Amino acid sequence: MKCQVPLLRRLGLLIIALALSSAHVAAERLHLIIPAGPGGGLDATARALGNAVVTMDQQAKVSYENRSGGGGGKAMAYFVSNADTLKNTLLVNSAPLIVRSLQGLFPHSYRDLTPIAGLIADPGVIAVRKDSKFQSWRDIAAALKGGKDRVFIAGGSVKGSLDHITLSLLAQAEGIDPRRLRYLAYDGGAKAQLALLSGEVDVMVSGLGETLAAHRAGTVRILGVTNDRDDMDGMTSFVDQGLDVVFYNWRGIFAPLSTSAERREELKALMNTVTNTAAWQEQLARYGWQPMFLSGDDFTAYLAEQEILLTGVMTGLGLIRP
Amino acid sequence: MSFRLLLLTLFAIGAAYLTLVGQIELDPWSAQDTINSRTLPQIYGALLCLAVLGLALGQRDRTGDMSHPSLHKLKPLFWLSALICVFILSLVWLNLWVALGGLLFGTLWTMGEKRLPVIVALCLAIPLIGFVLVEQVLQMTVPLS
Amino acid sequence: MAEGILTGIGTALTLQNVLWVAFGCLAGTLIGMMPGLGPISAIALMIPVSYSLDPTGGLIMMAGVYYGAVFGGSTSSILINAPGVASTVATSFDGYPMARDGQAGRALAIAAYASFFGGTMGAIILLIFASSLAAIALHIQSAEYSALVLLAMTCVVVFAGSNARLPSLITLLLGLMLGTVGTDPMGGAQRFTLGLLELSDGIPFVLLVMATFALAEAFRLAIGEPQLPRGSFSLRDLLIPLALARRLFRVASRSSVLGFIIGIMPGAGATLASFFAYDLEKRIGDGSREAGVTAPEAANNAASTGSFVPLLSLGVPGSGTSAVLLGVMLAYGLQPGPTLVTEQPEIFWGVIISMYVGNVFLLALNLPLIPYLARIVSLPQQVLIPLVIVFALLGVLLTTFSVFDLALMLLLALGATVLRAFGFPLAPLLLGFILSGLFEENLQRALMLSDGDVAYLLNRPIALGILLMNAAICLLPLWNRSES
Repeated sequence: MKCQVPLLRRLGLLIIALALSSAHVAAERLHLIIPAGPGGGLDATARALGNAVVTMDQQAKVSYENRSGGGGGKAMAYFVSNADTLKNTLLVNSAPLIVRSLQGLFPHSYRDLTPIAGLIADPGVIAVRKDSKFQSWRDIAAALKGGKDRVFIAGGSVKGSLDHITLSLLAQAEGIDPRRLRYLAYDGGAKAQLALLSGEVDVMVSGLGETLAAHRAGTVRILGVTNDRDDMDGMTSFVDQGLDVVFYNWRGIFAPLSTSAERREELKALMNTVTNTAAWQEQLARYGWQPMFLSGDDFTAYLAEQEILLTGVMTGLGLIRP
Repeated sequence: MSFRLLLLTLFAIGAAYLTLVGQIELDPWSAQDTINSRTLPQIYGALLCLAVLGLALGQRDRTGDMSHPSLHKLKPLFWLSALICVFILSLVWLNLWVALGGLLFGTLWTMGEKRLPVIVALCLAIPLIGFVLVEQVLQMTVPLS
Repeated sequence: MAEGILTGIGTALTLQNVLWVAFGCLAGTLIGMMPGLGPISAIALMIPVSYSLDPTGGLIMMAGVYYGAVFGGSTSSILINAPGVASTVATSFDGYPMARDGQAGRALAIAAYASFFGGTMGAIILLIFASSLAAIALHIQSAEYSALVLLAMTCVVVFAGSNARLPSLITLLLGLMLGTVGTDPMGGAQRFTLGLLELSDGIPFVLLVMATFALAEAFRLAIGEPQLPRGSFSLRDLLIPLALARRLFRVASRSSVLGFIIGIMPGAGATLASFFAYDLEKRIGDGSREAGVTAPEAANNAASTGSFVPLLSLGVPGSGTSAVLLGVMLAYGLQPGPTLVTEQPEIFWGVIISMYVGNVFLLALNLPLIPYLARIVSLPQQVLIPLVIVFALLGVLLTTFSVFDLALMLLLALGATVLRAFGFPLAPLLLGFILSGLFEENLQRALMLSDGDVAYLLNRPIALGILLMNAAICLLPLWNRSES
């Protein structure tokens, strides 16, 4: 039985392939699985990476597969259960992977994958309107602590999402119980930003990538960034403001768990070269992405670190039930 | 299937929905909110049950196409559903475009198209066009699971 | 400003850009006609192509892709009752029956003219009021949204006619209930997923619409009496008699204005606009099917143009499509926002003018295609039914790639077939489903912001006004009864 199944499938493919006589000679090829639909950040990351690979090596062929559903869980389930048969197939994933597996939304975690490289890191930001009564994060924290004013904070996704977690990390660092925050979820960062501009809320938590353009255009003001880099565009990191909060929404590349050590080194080397090309740098600039190159074991260590950090804050929020 | 049975089914759907509402896990901090994850579903479910009751009381003698469905008329529906089921199951181990050809063949035949050249032409042409457009031109990969 | 507009025309009308917009229109139409692929997928798929162009050329091509995809969607909506995007659902209400009665060519032609008209009106309003209209987008907050969504739902039930009110309410509620499946938009709780990973993102719109409209329609044709295809398919269908044209002109004008205003509000703008315009024509218009096709098409196109207002003036995308367009603009290093008008006027006006050029090209390219497209309905039933089934299944498979979804779709289609056979209208089901999430998230936010205090509403006159309109419409049937 078992050997018949792929045979039939292959036969079907063969018939069509022959009919079109478009069978390609295999060059270096990569197949990227994207756990989201077309048009989003993960999709853009995968396609930008593929673009850079093809620019570097004209012979290479990169294909993409959008597997949305289950908050990324369907792509994970597919990738893990077919690990042995997937050849040259990589999975693009991001920070919600850890959040959702901690929440128990799907049974797998990053341990069921072989981390190859972290590529991009998008820090969180706290932003206000340009004419806001809040001049700094200190003002907001004071208002939150005082509890006299009702301060609503808009975020681009449901409770328990990265925006909510970023805010909770900041609140915890200030000694505020994150459960008492008035977090309003909007359907996407853009709508949260509009709610901020319209005055429905006074504070917004979002990703830097989504907010930078508005900050540069002067409609909103970013009061703090959860990175540990030098200041840019008049923004200060929370670390420089004396708050030990560093948190990124990373995006990275994973191979199946069964990948051989040899192939793993090959892929690491490939990512290393690709991320150094001008083509990749151009893509980064194009989307306003912050590079974060972590290779192999460094990436695994980073993920482990993130999991501990997230377990802490999510338990505090009551998102993980002991 | 009678109208009464349909109303009964709708009422059962409403009741089952209301039961499921009780199983929604609320996060610890929003249980006290004016409106939480359960509120609106509760309203929808209750309203549905009420509306179905209202319909049952108001119009007892409502009739539609299917108030006295004959077996002859339901047969194609049964066959089409069966063919779609076979198509869905076959996707697990057959290539999409091949399975699609099979589905076309089956549905054309049961719908009464008996001219073989027409059937064969359609069964070959449509999957082929689909394959070329989707996988070659748009470069989308069609995964099967 | 006049100078800006002239610069815009100059930029948009170079030979190169005109070629790109034509190419975009064609590609968009083709992609939009494919099952399950709407404007968002069309734009996302064309992004790699746009990289090889300069910013204006790229954006102009994207405008063409967008309008093409919207038109492609109305085509499948009219011909086989399979609207690919929410905003063309209302078009199928009268468009599909027209096509079944042998007026497919006329319905498509009216849709094309109405889209063109709506787009033109939209572009004109945008030209005149562009930045000052941004204020409207800012006045619409969660309270107004929830009131407006409630209004759409009240209208669909109350205006259904005294015999159909309860059935409409029932299908509306079923739609709302289907819309609650998945992750709660505020709290993030998992609801009605039955522990299935496949359901945790909710039921995709394409799945529901393909099941309850396209597939259920194929089933209905299969169990009904066989009909012989009727109608002529010639270029003459493209000519609309003068009297009718004059009537439709008025319909299109009011629908466009209504559409544009609703379209400025981010979110489900185009969809709400098309439903409202349809309802309005059925109430105050002559209720003809031609008007029923004109109103939603003019409204959704004007609304799509309206959704560019928040993007261009505030830098915040008002719809899924403009969000993808924002991505494209950012990728070119452009920063949409209030400064775009002053700092890069040629881009700002270029975009607006090119949207208009996109519209013109769409009309020119697609009108000659209509008689050929319309022939689809003249296929004998035993061929048409299998084709619709394949189209519907592919539409879902190409968006979700999930076999589970196909099974769910079959189940929903069978349920819809039964409901329809007993005379339950299915449009409210789809409306309820589309609005379910929007209603709940906005209502929750409004109630949190107001802290349950009614006085909050008094400070929000627009929301209060819409709510009062709601109440008035609910009382309408009582008044009618006492009068008769």
